Amino acid sequence: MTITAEVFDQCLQNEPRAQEALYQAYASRMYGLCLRYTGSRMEAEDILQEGFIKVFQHLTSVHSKEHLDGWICKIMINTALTHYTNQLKFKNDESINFDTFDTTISEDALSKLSYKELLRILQGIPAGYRTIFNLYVIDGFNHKEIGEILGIAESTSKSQLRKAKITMKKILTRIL
Amino acid sequence: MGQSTNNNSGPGKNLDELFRDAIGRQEFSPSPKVWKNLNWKLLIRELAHFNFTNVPGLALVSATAGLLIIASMTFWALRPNSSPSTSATTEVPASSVVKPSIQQIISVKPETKPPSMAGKQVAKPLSETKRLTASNNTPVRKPAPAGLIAANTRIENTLTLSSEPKSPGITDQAVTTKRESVATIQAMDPLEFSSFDFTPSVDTISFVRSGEVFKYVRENAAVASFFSANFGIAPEMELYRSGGSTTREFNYWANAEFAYHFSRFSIHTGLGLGYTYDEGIYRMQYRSNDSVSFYKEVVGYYTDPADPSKIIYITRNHSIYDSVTHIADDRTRNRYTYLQVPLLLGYTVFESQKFCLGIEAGPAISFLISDKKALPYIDIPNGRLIQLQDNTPSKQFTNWQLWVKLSIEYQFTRNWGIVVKPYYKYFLTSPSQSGENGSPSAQAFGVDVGIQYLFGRKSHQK
Repeated sequence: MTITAEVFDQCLQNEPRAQEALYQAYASRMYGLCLRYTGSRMEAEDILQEGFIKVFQHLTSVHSKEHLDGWICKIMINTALTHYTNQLKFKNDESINFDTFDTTISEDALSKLSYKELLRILQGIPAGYRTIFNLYVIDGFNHKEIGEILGIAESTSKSQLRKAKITMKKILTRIL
Repeated sequence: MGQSTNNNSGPGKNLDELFRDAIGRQEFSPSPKVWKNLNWKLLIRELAHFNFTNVPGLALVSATAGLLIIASMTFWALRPNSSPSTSATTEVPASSVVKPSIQQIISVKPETKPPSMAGKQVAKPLSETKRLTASNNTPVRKPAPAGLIAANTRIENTLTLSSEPKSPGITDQAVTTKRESVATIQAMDPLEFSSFDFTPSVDTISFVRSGEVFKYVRENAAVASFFSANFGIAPEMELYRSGGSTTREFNYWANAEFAYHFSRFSIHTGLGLGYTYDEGIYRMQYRSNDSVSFYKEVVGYYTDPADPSKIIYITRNHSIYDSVTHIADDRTRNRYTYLQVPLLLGYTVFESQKFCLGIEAGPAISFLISDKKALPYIDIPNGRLIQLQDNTPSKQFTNWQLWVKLSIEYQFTRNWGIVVKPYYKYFLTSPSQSGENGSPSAQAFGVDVGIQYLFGRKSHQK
């Protein structure tokens, strides 16, 4: 998944064919990222589209082609977070009683799950939990960074992550 | 999602690793319509952000040259012939021609009136009046409706047939045995004159060519002038560009415009009352007591009857609450009223009996005369508000714009008509104050639709 320096230069000049080449090179991976942050394919496609518009708008701020990969990822994550913050804030799912839940799951059972099923589980949890789970577990941000990104307290990030995991395990228990 | 299903996790991996490894870098194919929509949006963005500063110089020069060529060709194609024809007359040998003096020619009476020769032996004058018709090398001019003399330009063609000497007792006019061929152009379109010369320095020019004497008379100035007023409404879409993102607002205007027309040119001004709205952006920071964890309290125990060596504890869950800070956004609707005053210069590109096509351009100024801001809705159960931040960009009191309008008029009576004016506004000063991303650039597109009344008729029949 890479583009040539020539394509990169042409993208800087808003050349449509080069823009399409860049899109085709990164679309699949970025769409996977968007799916993780959203609850539906439609939302993910909206974010993907919006994210790529930002990519093409601000491409001149990328110093070299080598930094493009991480930069596009960052743009997509930021777009997904903007999408999330525009839609809803950290609302607790009242239907889940975290206090009475047993979190023991067999690891052998987990191994039977496909990535599609795991993605559906992730998409099935509330958006606030999903966002923090994605940022912390998959994209590698720490709680302090998440707090700064989302404008929340570090402790909030921790508690939301914990609730996210409990919710996911509950769903997993039902499946397995 | 297109990809085949596979198992990703093995024994020993915890939940975090499971998800990280399974879906962390998983790729999925988006639907093809995403690129189609994206491509379309990129095109619209390019068009929306078009201005003369981001166009290469070569493209600007090419476009200007192309426009000039098209405009010249259009003008040449639409331009009626304004030069008189002289070839419709009878050619007479030069030797038989006596050139009358200029004085004689100017003294010729109106063309339809034969000379009065009562009681005199005179040659019967051959007078005739005819319209100047098509010649071999001149396009046909359409005859104007009778009774309309707009430009009042007349060409008289006087041809001398013989050089007989004057008989005694015969007046100068009567003695002249000449055939007067007087051609009159009536209702000459003033626009044709205005294309070349708005204020000719002389009103009468006479000349002789191939034995024919021509008198070229302009009785009045050819420039038509009148006032007009129109009232219209204009829905408008305004585009703001700030920090790489574009936002839209919809404005609605009620316009009263007054114009003074002189020949092909016009000057327009008036008042417009506009209504617009945007989103009030608020961020609330509040603190509430939320359940963040729990603990189990042992309330009793007993020995497992099946296995006396085991003790079974009876527990009860207790929630732990903590004060948690939340941030929430709220959107409201703010309403604004503007007053605008344009000053535009217009030019009529094409004009016919009913239709008129023109362009107008010039500056305009807008004033913010009122604003109504809605307060955000705050509902915080079990919490308290810490901070309320208003992130709504403030509106400027005045802003300057540059307008370009395409004017399409249709006169359904002599004085009344409808007018449709698609227009483009470029904001020289932004309507919103500078934010984090600097001052937003703005432009707007709209269509002004209204009725028009002409004070004083135009020079030709409407």
